[in-house]
Amino acid sequence: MSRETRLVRRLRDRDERAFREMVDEYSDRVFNLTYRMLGSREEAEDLAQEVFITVFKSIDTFRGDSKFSTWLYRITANHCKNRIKYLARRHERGKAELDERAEGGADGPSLAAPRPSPRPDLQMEGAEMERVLQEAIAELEEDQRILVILRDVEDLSYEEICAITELPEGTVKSRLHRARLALRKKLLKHV
Amino acid sequence: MSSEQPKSEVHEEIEAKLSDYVEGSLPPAEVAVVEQHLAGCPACTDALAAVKETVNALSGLHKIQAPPHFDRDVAETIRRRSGGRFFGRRAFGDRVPLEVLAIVALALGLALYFFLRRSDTGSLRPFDRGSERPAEHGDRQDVAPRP
Repeated sequence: MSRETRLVRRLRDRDERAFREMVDEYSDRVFNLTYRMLGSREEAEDLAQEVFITVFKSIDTFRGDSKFSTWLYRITANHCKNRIKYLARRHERGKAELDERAEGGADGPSLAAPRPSPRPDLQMEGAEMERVLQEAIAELEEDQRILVILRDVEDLSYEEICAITELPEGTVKSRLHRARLALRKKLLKHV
Repeated sequence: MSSEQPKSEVHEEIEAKLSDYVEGSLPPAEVAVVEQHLAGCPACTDALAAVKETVNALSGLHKIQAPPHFDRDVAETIRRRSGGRFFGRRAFGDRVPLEVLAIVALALGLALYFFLRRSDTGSLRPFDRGSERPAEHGDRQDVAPRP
C-alpha cells in the first residue's frame, strides 16, 4: 500500500495526526496557489484553511482515480474561482454604495478608500517586479490566471493541469498561450 | 501549412505554437516550420520574445510559504466548527451510510423471517391442524376425552 493510500485511509478515519501530516505536506503549495490567485495574504490564508477543511470533510468522495495532490489542487482551484467571484461582487456592491454616498453629498466620512499600507513581509519578498507581476496576474481572467499559475509558477505538467481543470490539453495550451500574451501586455502597461 | 493560406492565419497558426516551441514540446518537423517562419517575420519574433520573457518572469516568482502554525489554526477551526466532534476514530455507523445499514438490516430481517417460517421448530409457521393430527393406532384412544 502506498504512503498516499495509507494517508487517505487515515484521513477517512478522521485521524488528527494524519490531518496535520497532510496539511504540513501540502500547505505551502496550497497557500502559494491561493496567494497567487487572490493577491492578498489574508484572503489566501483564509481560503487555504477552507480548502483543507473541505478536503477533510469530503475525503470520502476521493476515489483515487487521480493523485491526491491533483484532487487537492482541483478543490483549491474551485475555491479560488468562487472566492474571486465573491470578492468581485463585494467590490461591485461596495463601489455602488460609495457612488450613492458620493451623490448624497460630502457630509459623511472620507470616501476615498485608503491604500493598504505596505506590509513588512511583502516588502521583504518584494522586488518591484514581483509586485508588478502579481498585479498583472490579478488582472487576468480567472480561467487564464489559474493556467498561468499552475504551469508557470507551480510548474505542473500538462497532464496534471488537465486533470485539475478538467479541460482537454489543446484547450489548456491555447488558453495558456493567450494568457501569457495578455500578461505580457499588462506587464508592459505596468512597467 | 499551406502557401495559399492568408497571412493572418499563418501568423495565428505560428503564434499558437510559440508556447510549445518555448517549452521544447513541439515535434521536430513543426520546429523547423516555426523557425523558418520566424526568420522572416519580425512580428512573430517579437511575440516569441514576449512569451519567453513572460515565462521567465513567472518562473522567478517566489514560492510563498504558509504562515507558521497554519496546521494548528486549521485544526482549531475544524474543532471549533464541529464542537470537538470531528476528530477521532469513526465508529462503524459513521463509515457506512445509514441507507446501506437499513437495507442490510431489512435483508437480514427478511432472511430470518423466511428461515423461521420454513423451520419445523419455527414459531412463525401457522399451526396446520391437518398435519399435526395424531397418528391413529387401530381403535386405541390414548387421547383423554374432552370434558
